[in-house]
Amino acid sequence: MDAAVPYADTEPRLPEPLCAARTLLQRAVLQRLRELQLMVEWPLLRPPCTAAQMERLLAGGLRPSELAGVRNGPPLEYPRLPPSLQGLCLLGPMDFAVALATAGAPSLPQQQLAKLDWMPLSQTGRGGVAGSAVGGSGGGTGQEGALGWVSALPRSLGHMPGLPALAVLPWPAPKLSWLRGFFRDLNPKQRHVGVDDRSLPWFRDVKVAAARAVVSEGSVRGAATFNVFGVPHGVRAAVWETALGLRRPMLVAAITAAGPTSQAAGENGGASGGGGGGGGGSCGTGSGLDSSFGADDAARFERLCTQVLEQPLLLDVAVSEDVGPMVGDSEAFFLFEESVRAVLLAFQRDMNIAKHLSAPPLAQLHATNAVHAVLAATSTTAAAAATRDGGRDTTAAGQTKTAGDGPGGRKDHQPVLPYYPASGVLPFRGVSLLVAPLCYMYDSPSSSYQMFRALYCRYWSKLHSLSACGPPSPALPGLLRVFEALLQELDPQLVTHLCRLGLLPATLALPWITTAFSGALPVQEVLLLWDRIIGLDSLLPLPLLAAAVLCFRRHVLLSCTSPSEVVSALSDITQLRAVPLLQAVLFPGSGSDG
Amino acid sequence: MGVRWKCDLDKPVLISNFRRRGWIDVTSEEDDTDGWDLWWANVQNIKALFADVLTRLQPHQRVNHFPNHYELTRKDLMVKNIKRYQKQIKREGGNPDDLDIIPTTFVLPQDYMLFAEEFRRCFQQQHQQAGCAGVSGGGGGATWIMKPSSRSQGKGIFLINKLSQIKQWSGASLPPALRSGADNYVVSRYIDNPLLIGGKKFDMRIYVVVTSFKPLKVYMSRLGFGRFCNVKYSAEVGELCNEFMHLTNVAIQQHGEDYNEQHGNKWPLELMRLYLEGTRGVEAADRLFADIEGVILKSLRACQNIIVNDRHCFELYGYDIIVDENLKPWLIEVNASPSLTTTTQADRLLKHRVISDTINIITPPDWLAVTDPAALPPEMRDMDNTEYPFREQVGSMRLICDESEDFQRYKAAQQARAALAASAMVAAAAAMASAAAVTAATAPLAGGGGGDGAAAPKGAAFPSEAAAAAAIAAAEPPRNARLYSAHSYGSGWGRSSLGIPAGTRHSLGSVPTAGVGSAATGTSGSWSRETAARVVKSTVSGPAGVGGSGGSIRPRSAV
Repeated sequence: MDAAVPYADTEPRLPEPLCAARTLLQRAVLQRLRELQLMVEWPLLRPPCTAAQMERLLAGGLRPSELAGVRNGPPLEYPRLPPSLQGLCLLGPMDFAVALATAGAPSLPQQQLAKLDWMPLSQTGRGGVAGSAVGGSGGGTGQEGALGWVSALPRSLGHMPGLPALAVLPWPAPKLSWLRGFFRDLNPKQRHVGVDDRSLPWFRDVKVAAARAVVSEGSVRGAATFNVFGVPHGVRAAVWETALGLRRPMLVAAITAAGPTSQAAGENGGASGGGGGGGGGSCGTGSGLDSSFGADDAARFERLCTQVLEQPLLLDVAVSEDVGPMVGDSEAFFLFEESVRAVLLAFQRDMNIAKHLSAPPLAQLHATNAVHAVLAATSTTAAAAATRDGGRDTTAAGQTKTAGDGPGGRKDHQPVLPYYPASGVLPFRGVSLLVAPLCYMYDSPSSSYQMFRALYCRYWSKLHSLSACGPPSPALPGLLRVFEALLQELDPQLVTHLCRLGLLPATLALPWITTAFSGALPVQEVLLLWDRIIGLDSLLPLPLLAAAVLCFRRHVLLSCTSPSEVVSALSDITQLRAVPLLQAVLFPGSGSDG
Repeated sequence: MGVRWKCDLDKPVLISNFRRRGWIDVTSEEDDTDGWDLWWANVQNIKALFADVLTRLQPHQRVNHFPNHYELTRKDLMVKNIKRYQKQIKREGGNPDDLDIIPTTFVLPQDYMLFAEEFRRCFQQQHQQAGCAGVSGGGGGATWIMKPSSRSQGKGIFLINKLSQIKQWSGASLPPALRSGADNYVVSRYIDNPLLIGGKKFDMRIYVVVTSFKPLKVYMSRLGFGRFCNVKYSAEVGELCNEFMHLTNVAIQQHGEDYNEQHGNKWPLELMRLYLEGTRGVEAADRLFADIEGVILKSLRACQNIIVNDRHCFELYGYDIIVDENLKPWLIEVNASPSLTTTTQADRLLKHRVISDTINIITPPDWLAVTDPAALPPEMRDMDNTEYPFREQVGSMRLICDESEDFQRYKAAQQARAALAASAMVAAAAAMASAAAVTAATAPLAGGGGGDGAAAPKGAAFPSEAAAAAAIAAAEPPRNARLYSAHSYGSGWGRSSLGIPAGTRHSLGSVPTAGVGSAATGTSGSWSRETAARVVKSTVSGPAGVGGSGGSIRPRSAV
């Protein structure tokens, strides 16, 4: 690896402890990459595939997207890590917990912090004795299982109710009464998919008919409102696309598309794809995300998959190692392992992502020097074929930033270096679980990819960011802050008990929040929860649900006498139902007037 | 005096179920024809039991197989019975295409000549098509699958695409008397366009409990799983010998290189349904599962008159069903003793629940008194004696057929009660709607609540619910109006743009629910038992509001 890789300083006005936490995590990223590199003996960029090799690969008639997801197929075999380290080579929730705890801890002065080295890979995660015992039961569920982070936290934190770094956020934590107003539509007086469709068989059919009406209407606002009350599964894809503005409304499509081929984004899937040549081109350059999925989207995805085959990256190994245990070993998702891998590998190479993220990522590695040269070369060939969004990026390729250069500044005003990986997003542990539920909505990885990209840019990027923004749509620190305050308000006794055991409540919720409960709850419930996230355009349902789960299990938790018992008491929440829990915590005892 | 049980199979999912109920284990006691109440026997013991003409089962005794269950569960006999039933239907003027539930199948060696004819016909057909399309045939004909009639776990199965591969079954070599029955094979047209998920082939294992063949009474479980191949499917001729690609049996797959012990390549049926709903649409998924139900019922009706209907018997069948690309289910095989060996944690839970529900179905009311109440689901503990024989949902098992006259009478009485209540509700709704129209400024929204109730989509199937919904909608116009305005549904939200009846619109997303009262009445901060019951995924709530008594809306906490 290169001697120094400068970061883009994406959010200059970050409060001091968060800044320190970010520095810690950025250092951790480098260390993880370095360790990974030593372990698998891959450079950051593998030597690219020659044209002849590519031709041989594609001779079988398979599409690049079908080849890209194969773990040990003919294109290339990803080296396997020892089982104890699988999935750990990316930054994970426990790293966040440790960074947020140590960075703001009063006992650690900043100078000491600077010298603090990140714990080696082998000591994190499934290392400890207690951890392996607990981790077995939590296996593929996305639960962190291990107790590595408990021992990694500073001892002095034992009696603190919250992560110290969060105390500096420049906004007051919302009270339950405020949340009640924010979530007023979740009131059990309304009928909700996820609650009422279980007991009222006609309800689903009524909702399906209504969803079709909403989709043909095409109003983003209307679809979002519809989302709040839940979407029946069969029409979920269309409603989400409408709510996220991915589906061109009928009128706009008719006006922009010259040909009669693209009549309507009416019923199921990509009707307007045919007219993508003219209409899609002019419309697509605006934001790059606002056409419904059609032939041009599929072609773009295939091009990204071709790049996956042409130019393997070291990070591909890390992503692949995340997909293996999280998706491949999961009962619900194992069939989609290859789709998920293809989606994530393509996502890494999509240069349009960096400028659409709603929150600055934790760390962005600039491709420098040798890395840069190779990266720029491949991105030029790719961009030449692509929709020409990348033109700006490739012109910037000539100027190489020197190591140790200062903040990158606003990328809108100043030419930007290509990132490593090209998306500018370093993958986070459990990111594959954010893709996997989408495979229950779409048959083709290409469509899953479009939806994942939209969701990541709009929502999930906030889960992997240290941005200090506050309600109504906070990023990870804000979500944790809301969670802490909420739990304190709902159940102070439980908070005291957990603190006495040396557990920070926020660290219990972190694994759930960073994967948006995917892998922890059953798929149906995850999608119902995401309905509400999209409908309310906020990630606040996540901390709310996390607090609700803890409150719901309070009797078990209060009887626990050790941290490992607490972790195992929360390791299996597959029997819980998301929406009734949210309702129960927001509106206890309501509905009695009905 | 408890229930005395015998169990021939040393399976934890069985034994633990009996023990939980506090019943008495008499498995190891001296053979006594009268010393047991429930016998979970293996097939050999059943044969011996019913072969002995002196055996007379007592009224209280139950065994888990019908005397000649093999009429359904042996591959060749099942084919024979279904073919006969097809002929019978044709004779009676029915549509035999409805019975197109198994792939074309012949029993070898008896039907060899018929098979050879069919094989050549398919071969020619394929070559003609190939000729038209300008593709070379590749030498082979259609693919057929050979299975031994009476072996299980995928033993002895192979695929063929040339007639010469099965010359030994042509019947030329040996006179029929000298051939042992064990050599019997069935040859079926191979489903070469199976539905693939993640590129892999699968079959479904569906659990069905039959408590009586005449009149037919059948329960079907919503639990089950798809068994997936390890290797991606390909129709290439060169891969015909790859059993990891073509055969889904766990006994074979678990020796594969990529067998995953975390999930055992098993995908829960509920998730499969979710996937199909998401990717193929709600209607297609509903139709598939209704079709599967139809396949099961048809196969049972085909041997309804053959099987000795001993009222001491019940049977738990494991149906193997393959779905093709067009979402048409094909019956492959019925197992009388579905595997109770468990491979994973989820597998164990599933099989435990299936067995538990099976036992609950066959438990006569007088056994309940001697059963540990903790082992029984709540709805069985306090069940009305008149309703008990007609339970339509037992745990995961749903009644899909009951031809008995008692049940028909029971249903008729229930429907009459419901209709009566519904008409009363409609009248009340109309009255309320007119009252509301006076007070509320938004009268058009609620207009004619009673009439719309009848027009609601599911009005015919669920008269009471629909009428109730109409009643609620009519009773609450102010709140509806508030919600519609609060969410600022854009300008296009006129009634016409929705294209659905106005009465239905009240239920779009903002119908206030009735009867939620008892659901979440805890003191704030503490979690009441009702809330817990509501939040935790209920294991007993069925998909349909079956058995809704008297036509009134039940409070949701009661379901």
